[in-house]
Amino acid sequence: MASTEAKSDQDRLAVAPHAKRMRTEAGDHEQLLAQGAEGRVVVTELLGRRVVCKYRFPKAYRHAELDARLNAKRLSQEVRLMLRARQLGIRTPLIYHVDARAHAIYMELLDAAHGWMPVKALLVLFERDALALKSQQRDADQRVGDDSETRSDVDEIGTQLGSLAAVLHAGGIIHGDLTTSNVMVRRRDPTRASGGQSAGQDFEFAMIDFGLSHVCTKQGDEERAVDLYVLERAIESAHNKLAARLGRALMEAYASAWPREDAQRGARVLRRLEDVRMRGRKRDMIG
Amino acid sequence: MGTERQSALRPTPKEPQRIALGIEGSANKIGVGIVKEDGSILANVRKTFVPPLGSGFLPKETAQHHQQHAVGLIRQALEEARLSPRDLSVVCYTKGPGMGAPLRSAAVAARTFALLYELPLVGVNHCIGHIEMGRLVTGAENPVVLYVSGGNTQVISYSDQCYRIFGETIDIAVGNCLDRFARVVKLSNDPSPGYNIEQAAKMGSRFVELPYVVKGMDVSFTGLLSSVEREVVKMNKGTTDFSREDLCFSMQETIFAMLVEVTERAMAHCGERDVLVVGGVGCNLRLQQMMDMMVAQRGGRAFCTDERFCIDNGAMIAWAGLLEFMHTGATPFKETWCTQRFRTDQVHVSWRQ
Ligand SMILES: Nc1ncnc2c1ncn2[C@@H]1O[C@H](COP(=O)(O)OP(=O)(O)OP(=O)(O)O)[C@@H](O)[C@H]1O
Ligand SMILES: [Mg+2]
Repeated sequence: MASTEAKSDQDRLAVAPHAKRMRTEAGDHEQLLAQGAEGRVVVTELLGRRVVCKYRFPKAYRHAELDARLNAKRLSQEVRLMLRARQLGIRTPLIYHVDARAHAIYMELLDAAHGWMPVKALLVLFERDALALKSQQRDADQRVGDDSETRSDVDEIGTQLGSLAAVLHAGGIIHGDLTTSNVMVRRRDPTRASGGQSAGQDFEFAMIDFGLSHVCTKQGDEERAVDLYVLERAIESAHNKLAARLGRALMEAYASAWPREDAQRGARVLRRLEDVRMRGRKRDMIG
Repeated sequence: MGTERQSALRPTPKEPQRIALGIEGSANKIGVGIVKEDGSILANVRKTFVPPLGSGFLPKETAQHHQQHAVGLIRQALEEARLSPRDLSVVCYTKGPGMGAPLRSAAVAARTFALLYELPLVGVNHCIGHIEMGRLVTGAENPVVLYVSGGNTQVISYSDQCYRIFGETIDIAVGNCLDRFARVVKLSNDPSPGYNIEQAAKMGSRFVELPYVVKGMDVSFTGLLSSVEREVVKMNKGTTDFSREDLCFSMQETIFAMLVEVTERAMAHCGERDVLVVGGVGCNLRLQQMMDMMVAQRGGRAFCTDERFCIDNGAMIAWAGLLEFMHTGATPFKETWCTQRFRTDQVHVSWRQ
């Protein structure tokens, strides 16, 4: 499995000449993290440090002119908006180097070895745990009680996602691809986070994948609402069992995390979200 | 439950295979198909209502068209299959989504036929019909589905007995966008606006920059449509070098790239390698080619069908209805109505694990 995988990777690298160069520079250290939608994300080495390199290779299916335009635009958007998000206090990977010609960004590795994973992966674990818990309880012939552990974790994830979105939106940024694959999370070190930690501080988050991000227009309610709609549906389709619970926590947190002077704004976006959802439901008119 | 399901799929030699007749009429086509339990297609006939140049199809005229042809098509399908109504096990019809009046015409035909020959009825979700037909014809087992037609644009993936919608249009459907464009540039509706755009695009070469709007796994087409309409105005005034063919070309390149991109996003998001393209726009060869190139870069496969199955037809309703009939049973007569709104993810997919 691993070897055929590696071989076909090698083949596909033929479309990204810079990647070959990287491979020789980095020797055998390069390791594929994800074949995302547009780009490939690999762990490689830069100045003796393990880093992530995300590069977009030309898409054979896309008209060359369109493809070049999109790749260049998304690279610069990604870099600019990652910095802007940081200025809002949202954690994103640090950017070390940008190779515009190769459409490549070298950035900080949010290392799995240090507990980082996409929120999506964590939620999948929760779903599995919840199932296991239920069947355990059934086996023990107990009443399904308050499986509080998993449940409060799910609530916290929802709440934190909601406030992240609110901070981003209040700062004028539309993420453009808000999904649970594009937010990274790790559990805080329990030895350090003991005792004094208040509830809602068990996890830390980082946002990634700003390729479709942009600064929103002055009005911007519609854009923000669509951003939330994308997130909501990503959750519904990928984490069906937790969706209701996550969604509730998320929307509540979103409304309350807007800065005080803009408090109306959050509620307005949520009302707009209602409209966007309605359009969605009405859409299926003609087979 | 599990064993019941098995025996339903494997008939004993004494039991003859079940056969379904399906009637589709949710948009401007009325189709009748006959399908056997082993998946063989015994008949699949259809008639298309083609509106005059410059206009779209209206509910009332379309419904009249369907009413006119329903009986003839049922008769023709039975003849082709060499069957009499008594050989059928079930009658299936499109419950929705679609346009009200045409849907009702087909549903009334189905109910009448079923009552006449004392056959059970199954109401079928149109989108599920497309998906199941696509899986049957291509053999794709668990693909990400791109469903693109006049009224729908969805990226779908199956899990836990549900076809979940990962991405969709946030305004108009892709086919609707193409049809409206065809009207503006006065391309004929015969055989379909999309087909004529595809032919014209082959003669275009210069690329006009048009809005490319992808939001997560969703797409949006209204900005693109108004932008290309402005180009048409310029073209008619003679203030641009771009021809109608160039516009068709650029329109296709841009729209299809958006569709392929969101399909790829869904594949990355749910870790699937294969794609199935269904719906009327899915028979566009340029779209199929682009999809092939995308999956080739990912090491997967693209499954497409031709116009017999991509475009609305009766066999797809018969097949999806037969699956439901075998695993869930018939739709109670009281519930054999139809509805304009019926989302893909509302259906309990009892026939898959
Ligand atoms: N800095 C990082 N550290 C650790 N893992 C990362 C990092 N960046 C990306 N990843 C992993 O790679 C996956 C894909 O990355 P990313 O979302 O940036 O690419 P993509 O989805 O291909 O981008 P796009 O949506 O623009 O095509 C992420 O979901 C995550 O699992
Ligand atoms: Mg991503």
